[in-house]
Amino acid sequence: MSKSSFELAEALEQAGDPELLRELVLVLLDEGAKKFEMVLAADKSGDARSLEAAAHALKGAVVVFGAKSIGATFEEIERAARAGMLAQCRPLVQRAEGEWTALVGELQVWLASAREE
Amino acid sequence: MGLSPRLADLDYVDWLLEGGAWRGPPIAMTASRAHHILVVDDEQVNLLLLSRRLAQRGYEVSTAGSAEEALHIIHTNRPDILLLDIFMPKVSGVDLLRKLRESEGTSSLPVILVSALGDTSHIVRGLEEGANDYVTKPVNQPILVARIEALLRSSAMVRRLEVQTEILARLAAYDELTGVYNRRSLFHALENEMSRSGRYGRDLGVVLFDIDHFKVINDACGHAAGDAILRAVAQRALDALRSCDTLCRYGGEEFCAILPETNATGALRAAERVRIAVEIDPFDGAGQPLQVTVSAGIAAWKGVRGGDMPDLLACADRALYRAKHAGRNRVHLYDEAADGQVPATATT
Repeated sequence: MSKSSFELAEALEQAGDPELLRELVLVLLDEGAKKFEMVLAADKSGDARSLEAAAHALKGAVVVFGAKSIGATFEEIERAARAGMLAQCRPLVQRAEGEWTALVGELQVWLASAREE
Repeated sequence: MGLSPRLADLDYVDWLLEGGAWRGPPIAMTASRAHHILVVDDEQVNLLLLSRRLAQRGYEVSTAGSAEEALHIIHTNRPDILLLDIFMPKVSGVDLLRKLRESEGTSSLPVILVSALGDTSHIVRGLEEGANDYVTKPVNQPILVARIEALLRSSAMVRRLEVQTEILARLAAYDELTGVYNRRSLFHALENEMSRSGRYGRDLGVVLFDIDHFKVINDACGHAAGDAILRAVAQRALDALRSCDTLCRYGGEEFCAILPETNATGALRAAERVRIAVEIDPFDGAGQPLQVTVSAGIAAWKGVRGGDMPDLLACADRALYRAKHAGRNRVHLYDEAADGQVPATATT
């Protein structure tokens, strides 16, 4: 069985109640998606500063949901971008892309189940 | 109130404020209300999370998505505490913090840095830049609230000390009973006015007022009524004088008014206005209407020939003495021939 991309218990502890967690997920899916587009664009254009900023923002957002793995990847991207090592960023961004897709999918599943409850 | 309060005792300030004994200019105290927290973060998940959780705790919460927006809210809404993200585009949290610390109005605004940057160098730098505290994301909510409360407690203590200092400074300048300036302030103000008058050759009037037969009033009506009359006379004198004049309680039932840019004729008119303002309506003499009058002695001075403060006050005092002996309820201008030569420099 594959490991979950986020920790529901941690996310609920942060939010305090499922309703706020639902709002936070919606914000992440909306704002986070835009930020992730910025990560991809900055990686493509070689804009280290924008890449660092977007990765940092996403790292701060996903930790709220206990999404440790993708949080660690964003941190690695942030550090590499800060150091100007764009060559190291490319594989990290590719890894983040897969993790982001998984996280978004799992959060959407949780959203659907939360609506049913 | 039992024992007399002592100035050295800081409880005296509470006694003054809570007992309503303070009669000087009003002192602004912070009204009791929910504490206002401003959360600044360009990242929307954290902004929503922190603002909502803190609002649930009963705080009044504002949010800002940038340093520029935060500055506007700080200057218009005066938050009690700032939760500030470090890594923001354009102006970073540390840049905003530096700006706040350099500005007089916000130099002591409590700031907690909230960041996903948890390494030692960022924490140390944030605190060295003037942050009061530093928490890392994901934020541990109970610890954050405990830190906010600790900061609010210490800033309330600082505010209280500021108010106490303000009150003590005012106690040093104002007469507690009447609310006008005290004798210490009189000497300070008169020295300044004489210096100005001397430098620019300007007129300066000084009037000493004394309530007639005040001892009889005190004996007949009691000291509480006597105190009330002192306060009322001071108020009528203030109302009769110009806003640029300075009224001080010289001692006992005696007041002194400093009248800048005023020659002998002007000082006579001003003193007469005060005399009439006191005489025109009776005062409350322990439930009975009581006629009160004042006598006044005036010294007018032009500093071109030098002179000193004791001489000027002595001139006014001699004129006051003559007003008393001439029957009271009148004003007299110092006259060297009639009052004797006190100073070499006073003119009439």
